[in-house]
Amino acid sequence: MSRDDIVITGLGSMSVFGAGVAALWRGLHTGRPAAPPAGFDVDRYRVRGVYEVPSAAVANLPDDDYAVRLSVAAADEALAQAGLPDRQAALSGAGLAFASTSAGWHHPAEAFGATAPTTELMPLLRKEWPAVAIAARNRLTGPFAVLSSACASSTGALAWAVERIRSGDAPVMLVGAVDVLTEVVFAGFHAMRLLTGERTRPFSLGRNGFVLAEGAAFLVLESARHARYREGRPLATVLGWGASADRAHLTTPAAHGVARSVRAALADARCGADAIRLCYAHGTASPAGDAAEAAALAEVFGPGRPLVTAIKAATGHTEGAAGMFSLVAAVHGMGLGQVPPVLYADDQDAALGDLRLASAATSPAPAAPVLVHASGFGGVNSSVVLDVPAALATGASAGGDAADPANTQPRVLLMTNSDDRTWRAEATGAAGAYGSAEVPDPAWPRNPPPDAQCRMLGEAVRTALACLDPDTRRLARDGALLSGTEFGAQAHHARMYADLAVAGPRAIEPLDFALSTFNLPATMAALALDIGGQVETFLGATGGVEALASACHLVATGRADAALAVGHDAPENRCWQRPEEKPVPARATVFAVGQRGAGVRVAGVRRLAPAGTLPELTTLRVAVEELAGADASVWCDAVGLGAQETAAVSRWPRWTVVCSEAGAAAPLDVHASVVERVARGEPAEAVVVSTGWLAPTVIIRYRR
Amino acid sequence: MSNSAMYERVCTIVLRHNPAGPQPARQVAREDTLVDLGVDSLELLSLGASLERDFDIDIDDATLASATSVGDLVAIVEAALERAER
Repeated sequence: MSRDDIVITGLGSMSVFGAGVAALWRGLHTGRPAAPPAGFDVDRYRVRGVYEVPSAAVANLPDDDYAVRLSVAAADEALAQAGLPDRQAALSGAGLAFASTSAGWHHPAEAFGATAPTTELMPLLRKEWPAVAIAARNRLTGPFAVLSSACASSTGALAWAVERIRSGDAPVMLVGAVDVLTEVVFAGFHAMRLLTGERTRPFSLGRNGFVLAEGAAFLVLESARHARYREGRPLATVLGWGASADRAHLTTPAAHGVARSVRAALADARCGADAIRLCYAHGTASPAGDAAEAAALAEVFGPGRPLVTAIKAATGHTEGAAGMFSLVAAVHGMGLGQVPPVLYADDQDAALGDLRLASAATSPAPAAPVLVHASGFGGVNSSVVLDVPAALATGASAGGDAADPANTQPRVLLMTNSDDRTWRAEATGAAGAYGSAEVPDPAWPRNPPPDAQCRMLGEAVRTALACLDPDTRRLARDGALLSGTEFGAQAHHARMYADLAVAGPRAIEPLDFALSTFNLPATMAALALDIGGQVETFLGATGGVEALASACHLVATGRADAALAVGHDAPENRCWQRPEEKPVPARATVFAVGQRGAGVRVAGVRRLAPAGTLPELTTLRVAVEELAGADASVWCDAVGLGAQETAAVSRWPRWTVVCSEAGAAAPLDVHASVVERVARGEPAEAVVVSTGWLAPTVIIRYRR
Repeated sequence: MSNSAMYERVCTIVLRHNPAGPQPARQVAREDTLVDLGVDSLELLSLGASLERDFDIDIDDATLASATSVGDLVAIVEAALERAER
């Protein structure tokens, strides 16, 4: 299969304009008035208007948790358009990539620990839950991940899904996002003074923030061959993606960071800047954010730059789902040969240069390839390049692309192990116990100051960098810092929730909100240690292991020459716990992955949908045997398995069962100790299976 | 509240918002810029929240963003208090 052969075959939307992509598309041309939210009282706020999904549209949906209802509606629409009823998606071994920043917080008293949750409510308090529910409902057994990288989460999820299809892990990926309006997030953006209660006016002189909004959007991503054989109709081709970290400031976007992300996407798409016809900008109508984005577009595209549109004028800002709405709009508009206008843009800000904004009068020109960009708190950027499907563009029938076996096998690579020192670095607590003259202490921003978890993560990453030779260190900084966390930085949200209850919106400390996104500890560490590559955060107990698997993939496929992966968590961020849950160590465990060095090779990765929702053990055993044969030594972290399953697994020959502590660092420690054994040749190769509650099972095979 | 009492309170709050930590007591002049007092654009948001809490006033986004000196903040608080009295 040629590398670029990835198509989108279905779209779904449950937006502030109601159910369906058609309603979204109409709404992009009309906008809608903002209104006070139904769920909380805004009398004490300076800003009162928001966009919610119309209650009439929600009322038509089957009864379920609110975030699940929105997500299922959008996912079902996308699967139906793709012509993939649930059974066929299941038979195809389809996977799911999902993004959310706020799901679960719509039950704030329980999510933030003010009221003890019932056992039934516990899963609903996690951002992973809508994804787990959809995977179970549609029997999606393939690769699964939930990303939460602030407002760049959606494009990151699409990028992850693209990589799963490129490497042959799955022929079909459902990709989606949901975010729901919650008072804590509203109060946080309000305290940051990023909200308007009236109109979002991207790139206009009078721009004064965005209307906070909600919704769910999904798309079906598929290998072109799979679509062709089942006679699915491609709506668009995904040419490539790119990502970057700003290396500048946590909350003020930087033009050079956005530009690096866009250039990386163009390079991956093998697409010249002059080919891009249209750009779906992030466009949050923040004075600084729009200026940085406009400057980046000018820098990359120069004169004759593409037409720019920005749909947040119509949809408001749906946070982590925002990029998915842009992607859905971009694909739908491509099919129609139309471009949605930038609403309320009558006083375009001349200081932003000669940005060509789409208006109602814009003639429907051939508007592809399209660039879709998203940026998020922490200074992270993520960009995607789409095009019309190849068959439509050339008029020729596609076919004859021979399978490349190298693409369907996991690549072999080396884990960096310089000077016989361990490539693993651990930091417990905030103590900097690993002094190294070569890598100075993290240059923490003065404001906002890092919290204990940021410091811990930064110390661990610095230690890992210090273990590397200077070349690899430089490559890793330019490569990626991928992180995993189970509990994020929720202590900040819990404090905001408590402050709100006691003293109202004025009690919210804006800097608390600035520190509160799940991706923030990683982005803070990246900023302090001059890391400019992709910074992404995967959720759940196996999030750190997924970060490692994804870092290996980046290096194996040449997207990065070296990369860092970290699992981290801290007890203060767990606001409630399940009865059987173990303590959360305050820990960050880091792996460095590179092409050089005489370390341990990662010989293969398998990912399975979350344990507990599927007949798990047979699938697990088969997956391990397919990956490493029947004679491999296997270490299985059974923290996500029930007592019966754990007992069964422990009887399998050559399987060793361990059960790690809670959080995303401890599961990565299991990998670290097995890697150390393999490095010593005891045994020369081994498999580690990581499971977790509501988490995908990630299996990695290591070889000396 | 007398104007001088209000002025003193604004100055105390401004000094509290130096991200470098508590500063030695010093005389603050109206002309002193916020930047010189260690208040960057992010800290100004936090300072604005403190002023709103302390004086029980609302400061709108554009007004707060326009403040560059201690005198600007005093004028903002003054105007807000007058509005509240009316």
